[in-house]
Amino acid sequence: MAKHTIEVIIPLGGTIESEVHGILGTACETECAWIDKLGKLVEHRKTADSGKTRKVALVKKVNT
Amino acid sequence: MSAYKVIECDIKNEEYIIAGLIDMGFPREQIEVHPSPVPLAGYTGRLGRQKANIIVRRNHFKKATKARYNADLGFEKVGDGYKTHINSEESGWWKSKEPRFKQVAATLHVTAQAKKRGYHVTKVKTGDVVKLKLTKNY
Repeated sequence: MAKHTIEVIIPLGGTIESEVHGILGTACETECAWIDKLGKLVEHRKTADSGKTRKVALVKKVNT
Repeated sequence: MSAYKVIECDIKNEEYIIAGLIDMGFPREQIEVHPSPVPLAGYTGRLGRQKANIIVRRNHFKKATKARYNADLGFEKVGDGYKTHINSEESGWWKSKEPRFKQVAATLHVTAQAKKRGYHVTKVKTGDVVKLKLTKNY
């Protein structure tokens, strides 16, 4: 059974940063689409992969 | 291919606001929750035109802020989010507490949504930074 991990960092202020490990190709975007729905996407850019694991880095802001 | 994203979202859940207030040190019984907004008291104690659904009354709020004059602290449901009502006297106090308040709300939001999707959530807090590890088998 395959496993993937999302590492989330939330500093003071509620910004959410996350990295996804263990999902290859377009499945990564599909599986992690729920993260976009946590709020309003204000920036999204693709970055080069490094190593064998596909990564997605996400930064989110939560405003009151 | 990888992706970098920036997302802004509002706190839309009253439970997150209540949790944030409890984290600030307000006991749950001091936090009023009203389905319909009710008037807030100003620093004189008189009820004004501003209304809110989630309220910490000025007598409780005064102990926390140690300000000379206190009005009620309120969160008014506006659309699908909340608007914060705070007197200018306590704005400095709120400004110092708001980053942690938002962090608590964001942590609960991510945790709830991840669990809903079958993730196992492990929380590891390091200093002022909350770290969550979400794992899922598929």
